[in-house]
Amino acid sequence: MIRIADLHKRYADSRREVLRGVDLVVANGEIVSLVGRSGCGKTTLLNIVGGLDRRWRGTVEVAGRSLAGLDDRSLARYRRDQVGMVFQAYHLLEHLSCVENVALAGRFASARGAAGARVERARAEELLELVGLRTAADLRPGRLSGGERQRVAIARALFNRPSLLLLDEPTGNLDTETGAEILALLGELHAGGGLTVLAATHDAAIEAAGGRCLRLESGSVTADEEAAP
Amino acid sequence: MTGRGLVRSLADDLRRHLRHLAAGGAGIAVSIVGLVFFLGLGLGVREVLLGEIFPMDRLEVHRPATDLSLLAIKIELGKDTLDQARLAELAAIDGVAAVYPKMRLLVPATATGGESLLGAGMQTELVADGVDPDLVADAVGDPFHDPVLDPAALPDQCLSDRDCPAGAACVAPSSFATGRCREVIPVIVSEHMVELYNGAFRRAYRLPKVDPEALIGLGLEVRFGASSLRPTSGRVLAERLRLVGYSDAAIPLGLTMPLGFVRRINDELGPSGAADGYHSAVLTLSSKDAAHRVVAAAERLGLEVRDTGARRAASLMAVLLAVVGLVGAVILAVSALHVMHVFALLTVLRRREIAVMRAVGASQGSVRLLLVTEAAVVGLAAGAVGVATARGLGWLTDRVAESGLSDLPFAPETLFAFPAWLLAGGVAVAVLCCVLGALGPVLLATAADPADGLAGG
Repeated sequence: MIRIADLHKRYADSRREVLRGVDLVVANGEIVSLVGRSGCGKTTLLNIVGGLDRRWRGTVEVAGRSLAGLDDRSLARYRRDQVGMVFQAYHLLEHLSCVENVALAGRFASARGAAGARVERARAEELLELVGLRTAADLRPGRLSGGERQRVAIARALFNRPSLLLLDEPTGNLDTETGAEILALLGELHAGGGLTVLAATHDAAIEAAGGRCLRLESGSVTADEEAAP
Repeated sequence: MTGRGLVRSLADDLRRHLRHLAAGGAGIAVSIVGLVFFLGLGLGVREVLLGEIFPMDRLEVHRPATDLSLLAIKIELGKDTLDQARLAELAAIDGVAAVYPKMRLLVPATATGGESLLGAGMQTELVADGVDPDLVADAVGDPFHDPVLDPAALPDQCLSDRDCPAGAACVAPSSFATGRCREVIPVIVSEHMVELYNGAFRRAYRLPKVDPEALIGLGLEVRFGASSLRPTSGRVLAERLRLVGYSDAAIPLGLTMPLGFVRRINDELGPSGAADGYHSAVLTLSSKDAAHRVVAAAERLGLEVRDTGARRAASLMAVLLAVVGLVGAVILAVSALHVMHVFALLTVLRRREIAVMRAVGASQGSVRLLLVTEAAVVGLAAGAVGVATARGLGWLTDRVAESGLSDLPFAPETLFAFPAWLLAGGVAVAVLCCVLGALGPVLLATAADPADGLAGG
């Protein structure tokens, strides 16, 4: 479960608060869409919940654990073991092959949690198979289309079997058809097993797919409603 | 982060950023070349100066005599020799490894020989010292033994060397006297004597240049108690000497004989008490650093160190090495700044990559370890290249110097000394500079939250 209370965030180079007292509770296995205009704080909220941003005020608890009290190493472990994140700009490393990108988290596992190169590759290939890109395993991301890159990014997010999937505009750079494919894939993943999904989007299709839709305006939640079917 | 993960990431990064990293490493490598080359040169020259020209691994001490000047004559007052008690005191000084007494030959002597080498026999007055064979054992070994310690029974009469057993020669005090078989006395000389001969002396007398190795085995007939400078009336003792080797412990001009033999000649033919004391003692030091301490202790015993310029040379070399080290340190500091600049550039270029690594679970420590290890690998490679290049340049310089300095006396085989600590130190300094240079930019780059790096802000 995610519990957020009175969350405030202001960037160092700005006088304006990006998040202004956000309160939110997301149950395990829930799909929640975050909608709102650009700059309303959707990505910032995802970054905070994903443990990518440590400079904020308020309460953020994931699975009963407060992120505010975690040191860098614990936060890194949280990102590695509990969170999968898909970025709008994919953020794949161009010098690595697709399978290496997917298995990147394996390099930073602790000695106790390390699975071995062969196991990691097998897991990465399994995920590429899942997203329909098994044949692209050894290609560099630069050789792939936008939709394919987004699939690789999703595979990377799932590498460590996260319980929380954070999606930042997962279809934002894609055409309608590819967006629909990605959406179908996410639906399958969610149906596969109790994944909590928090997705920032402008895409009405994602809004519709989610069970719940949160509207952010100027850093505050202005609506929290069941998504229209 | 696992070791395997580190190695994989490291290999990827080094391959990808090879050009940038090579540019950073090149500056360090050039600095290491300069540092190791000049320190090697300094140490090499120091080795030659303090090891061969002004030996500092040993000191020679003697008891200064009190002289009374009378017009142009100086009259010696008091004893100038060292007795056993004084030798024991010297041996007890901290930093002294061993004490080897020396005794001057106090009997006039003439030497003849050299026909086989020079074409005509030469006769000269003989200047000689006696040293403990143990002092030169490393350089000469067994051939320089003391015949007095183990005299062989030899025939009393002979006409030629054929009448004597191996290791003995038929010698006679004059051409009219009957010969006697005598054990051949081994002698050593300083290599500088041959260098001086091959330099100015042979040119002045139009004599052939000689190979020092070919002189080994050269025999000389010596008449102790005889002189061509002034008439002598006492007993004359004939002996055959044979050159058995070279040592820098030999006197610079003259022959150096086994101590027991010189003592016996002084005792038999010299003035009263000539064999009672030693004229000096060579102290071998446990380390070159002990020199100052030993000199001070010897001076407290009323002895004087035969100053061959060693102390001044040592001070000069210390200053030179300090200057070389300082210049090297400045060059290295500049190179470290260069590395800092390269790594600052690289971390800016890799800002998003670092953020992605952290987003998927890398801690600040893991990323820092990766980047600092990269810097260390660059330093290791730069250090190895720098050290190897410095050694290569040293070899090249030696070859060039060889042709230019071959006729000079004291020309060393090499101008350089590259001890293991210098080579290892060169590599270690390169690693240190790269790591220190990279540390600032790495700390700065990893201090930001991943969200900042991903946003590009």
